[in-house]
Amino acid sequence: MDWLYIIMPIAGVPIFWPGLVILGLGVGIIGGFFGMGGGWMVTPGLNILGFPMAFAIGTDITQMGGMSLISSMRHSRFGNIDYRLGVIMVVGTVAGFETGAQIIMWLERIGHVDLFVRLGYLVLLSLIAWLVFTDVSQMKKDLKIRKTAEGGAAEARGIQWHRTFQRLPLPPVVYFKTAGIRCSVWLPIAVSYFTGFLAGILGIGGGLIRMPALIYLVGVPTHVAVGTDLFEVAISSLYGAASYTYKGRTELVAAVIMMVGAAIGAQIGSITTKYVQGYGIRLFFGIAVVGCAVSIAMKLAAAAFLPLRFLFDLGAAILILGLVGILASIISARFVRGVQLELRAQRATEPAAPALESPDSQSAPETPQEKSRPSR
Amino acid sequence: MIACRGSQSQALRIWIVVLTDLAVIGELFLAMYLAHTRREQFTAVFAGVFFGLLIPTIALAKLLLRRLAPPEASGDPPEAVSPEGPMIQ
Repeated sequence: MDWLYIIMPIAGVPIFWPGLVILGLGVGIIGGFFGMGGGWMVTPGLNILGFPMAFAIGTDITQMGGMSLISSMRHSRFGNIDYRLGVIMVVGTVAGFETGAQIIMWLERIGHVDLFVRLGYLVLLSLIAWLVFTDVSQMKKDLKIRKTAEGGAAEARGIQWHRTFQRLPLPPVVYFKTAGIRCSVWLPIAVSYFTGFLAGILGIGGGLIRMPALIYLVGVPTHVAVGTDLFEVAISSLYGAASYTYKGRTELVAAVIMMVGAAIGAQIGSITTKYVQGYGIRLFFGIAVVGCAVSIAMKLAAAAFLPLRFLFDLGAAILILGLVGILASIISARFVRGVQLELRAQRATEPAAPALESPDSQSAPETPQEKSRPSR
Repeated sequence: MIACRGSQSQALRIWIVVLTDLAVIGELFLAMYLAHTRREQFTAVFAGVFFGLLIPTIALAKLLLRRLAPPEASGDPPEAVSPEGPMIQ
């Protein structure tokens, strides 16, 4: 069974390649379910499987480029992309990405890339965990308010920073038709430069920061922010894939293997959103993010305490793969149960007579376009 | 258009998607095994075998799904990614 361990043709490191399928599958399930690309899981996961950090980033970005391109093409059909805004932001995204990638190459030369990227990930994962737990606690507060006060609570005003930023008098000021806003072009360029920098340095799409920044700093409506953000993710990922491939830091075979797993996982994850409601699983997601952060901390500890390196490395690998596995298994179980119940309910509602239905009366399988995402 | 009961049609479509997924995984394992036997041309053998099998598999699955689809969704078989896609990368 030595063929299950291959020496990667470019990175030159031995990898248990079915682990890449499992990682891709888990990331696809979790990403499809939570509406995330899961880039934040892939780079640490690849690093823990044995890829050097620069290769982990390059391979992650390549995998993400393929997936986000398909997603943004689909979003464009719904008119959710402001192309003028997107094209202007490409300038900042590409410049920011290249700055990040050059810093990675420099850190690799001086031998500090692993430490720097892991610390960056610790900060990023802490931010995600904070967002998730804040969201859950907010939901609990809302429930309490609904229970105690009849007639509903006062409408939240939300953050209004974009009104100040849109008034910046830096020429040229442009009107973005789809987004319905007028602002200086330097505002979206600055936002995209920062998120492109994050993408280049951490191997993520940057959407985690970009989408809220588009909403709160630029004032883009949420659905346009999602579509335009995906367009930017596709651009930055494809540029990133080309950039890292040119620098010889992309393992294309590994990216293809992961894409197979991710494509299958995304089907399961996105369909499961139809069957699962409630914040319990989101809480578990927050715990998984914390676990991911702990596993990175263990990798940092492994580098600091060399006698215990094997134990820390093993613990980190078990923790991250275990967490992705457990979360993916829970979502898959809900998926199977949901499909079973749906088919059973459909059989029960159909007429008992075995008459063939006319095509018009067939109940169409619910396509993603038709289903609305339940609020979780 | 294949006329059959709604739940049967949907179950059949689900089975086609599941079998396609399994076939793709099988093709991946076969490509990796064959590439492993010729290490000096690893990437070329892997790409040739995998994409050579993947493209006809996906084309066949799409064709079957289209034939089983109801008229209003005929151009749009059930797909893997949600309309929102990965909202956050």
